[in-house]
Amino acid sequence: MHLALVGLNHKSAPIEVREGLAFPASLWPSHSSELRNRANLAEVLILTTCNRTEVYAVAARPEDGMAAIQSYLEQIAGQYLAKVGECRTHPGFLHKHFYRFWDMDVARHAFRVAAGLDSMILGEPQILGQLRAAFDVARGAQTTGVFLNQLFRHSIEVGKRVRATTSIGSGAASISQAAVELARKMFGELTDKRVLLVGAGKMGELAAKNLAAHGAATVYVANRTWERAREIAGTFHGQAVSFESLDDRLVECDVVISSTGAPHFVIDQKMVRRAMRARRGRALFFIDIAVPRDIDPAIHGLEGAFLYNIDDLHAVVQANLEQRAAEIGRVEAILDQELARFFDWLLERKVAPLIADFRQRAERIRRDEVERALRGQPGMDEKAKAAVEAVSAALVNKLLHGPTMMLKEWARSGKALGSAELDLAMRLFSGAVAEEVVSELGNGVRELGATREESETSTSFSLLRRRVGEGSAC
Amino acid sequence: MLTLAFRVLLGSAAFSLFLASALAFYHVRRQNTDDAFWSSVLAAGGWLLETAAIAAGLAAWKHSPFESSAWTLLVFIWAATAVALFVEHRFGLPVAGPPIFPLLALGLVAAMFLPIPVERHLASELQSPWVVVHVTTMFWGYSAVGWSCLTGLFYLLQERRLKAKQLSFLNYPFPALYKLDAVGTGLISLGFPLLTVGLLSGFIWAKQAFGSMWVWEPKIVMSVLLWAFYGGFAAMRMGSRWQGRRPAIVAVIGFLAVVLTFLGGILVTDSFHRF
Repeated sequence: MHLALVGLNHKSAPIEVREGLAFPASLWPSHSSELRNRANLAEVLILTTCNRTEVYAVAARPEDGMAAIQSYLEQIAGQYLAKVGECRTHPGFLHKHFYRFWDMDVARHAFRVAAGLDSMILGEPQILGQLRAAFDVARGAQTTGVFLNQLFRHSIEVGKRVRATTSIGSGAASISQAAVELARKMFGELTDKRVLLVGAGKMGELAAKNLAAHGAATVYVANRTWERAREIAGTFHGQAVSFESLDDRLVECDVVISSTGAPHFVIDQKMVRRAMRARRGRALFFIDIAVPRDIDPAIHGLEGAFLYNIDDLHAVVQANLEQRAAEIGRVEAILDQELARFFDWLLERKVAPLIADFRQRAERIRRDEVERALRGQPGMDEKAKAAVEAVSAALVNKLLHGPTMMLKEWARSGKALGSAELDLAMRLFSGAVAEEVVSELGNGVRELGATREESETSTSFSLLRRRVGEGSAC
Repeated sequence: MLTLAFRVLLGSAAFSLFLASALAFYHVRRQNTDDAFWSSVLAAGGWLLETAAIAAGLAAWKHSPFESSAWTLLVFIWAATAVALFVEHRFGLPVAGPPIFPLLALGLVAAMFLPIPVERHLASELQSPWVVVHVTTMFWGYSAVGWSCLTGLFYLLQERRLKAKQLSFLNYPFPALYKLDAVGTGLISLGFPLLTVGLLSGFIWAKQAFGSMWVWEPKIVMSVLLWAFYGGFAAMRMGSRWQGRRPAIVAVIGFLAVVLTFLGGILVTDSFHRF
């Protein structure tokens, strides 16, 4: 059983291609079941967001599985594109857009995605929720099993850990967040501050909502249309005010956020001069999110008035994104740690069926022998029978202990198992299950010779990775 | 023995203030709140050591504390440290003290090495408890308006960063403008009454010592003028009638005038008011 992943994201495919595969979550279960049958997959999970479509799977033969997944996805995309009039869909037209991973590379990709390293905005939090949603849907449709369950549980944990211990997700990364960050840094706390929102622009609304959430005493909402002001104010306990009362509000408030669609200045120098006189010099901050600008830029030169426009907010976002990028090294270190943990789990999982099978057979033998012995001793009392059972069980456990530990140790260390050792393993653990698992172990570590020089990290998990095709999005 | 204790206490107080300043600097750079806490603790410790030094000095040389430069310096620094701590805790401005602490610490070190006269200096007719009241309250008053000069400087600095849109303020935020303004006002309203008491006690002492309340001495004249200036300033600031940039500038100019008066008093005149 191998992990496999086929997908595309905003880095590997343009929007015209991605939209062909951006089917909604309601279709995940049906596509998953269909895919599981067609591609002969043991487990499957589908994740689609506006920036990626990925299919995680577990298959006995990953190459076949991935090829089948790919052609299925191409079929879906082809259908969509035909509907919208695009007919350039020949087989394999998506090939160069897909990235394909298997085994530990799948885990590495999943962890990177969860940590926000693969997102359009580094460290964004939404992806974690999207991963959870995909996981829940897949579990509900019962298309996942042991491996994908553990992978996704672990990925979500990793995403949380990375965001809690590094600054990969902190600092404003959008315009409205930057406006809030600016206001908060200017004032320290917002508890007795008054905010005025002018206009109905989406970003302004978001910023005002955020400021209210951070404890601003009052948020006034002014709009040319009274109804609209009421509507917006209602979404966050704001207070609608008339557009005519703008002058008075300018005297009263500490922060003014403007994002109207007006083509001219909504707040001009004369208004602000009047307001500053009435305020007797008390500082007033303006944040102009609108394009074209709502607030006369000359206001920044007035004493006590401070005006920040959308370019300044962009600069804040830029600075924050650069800080986030500086955290990538720390995040990668955490990912390495977590991948090693996942690898350990994976190996234990792989030898588990072998150990179970071995124990089962030993138990069967024990049962048979004990029954035979007890049949030949009809006069034996209960206590003696119990003693026989106990002795035989203890004997079997003790004898199995050594080989079981050895197998686990081999699996964990990923050491080079020479052919003699593989032979020994086959004979010790003989059986169909043994054949499959031991050969897998053997295959995996035979790569040791080839790949150990290539891999930079010397942790054992890197020895079990193989990659098919080009275009890794890592 | 007590002389030694006196010097040791001064030295430790200076050291404490230096450390407090360094930690506050690290707090600003690394945004580590632990540093801020220990910085406050060290500053408070420094002030307690200064108080102990004064007590030791009083016990050692049972004469009035203002008969030597070392003493005067110590009392002034003691008042300045106290006001700094007051501003930090009452107004929540942890950056108020640390920029000036190194300067104060240097003053303490200087005081360690200045000579302490053993005999009485001041002529007997000038001895009186009113001297102590006068000088102490004047020092406290001037410390308060001194700190208002500092908050005014901070205000102007922060205003300039915001106007220039230097994004560094996102990483190293100063206190908010409205807060610096409020603290400045508070300090003036603290300082002015203290100066009033100081002047009045000065007049009373003069009456006792010289028989007349008023003497046409440059320092006294300047002090009264400054008192009037700060009175007017306080009145204008009261009730938020005047805020923002201009009062900050005025606060800075006012204290510069105070400093010039003191320096003038020390360097130029030759009267008893010189320390």
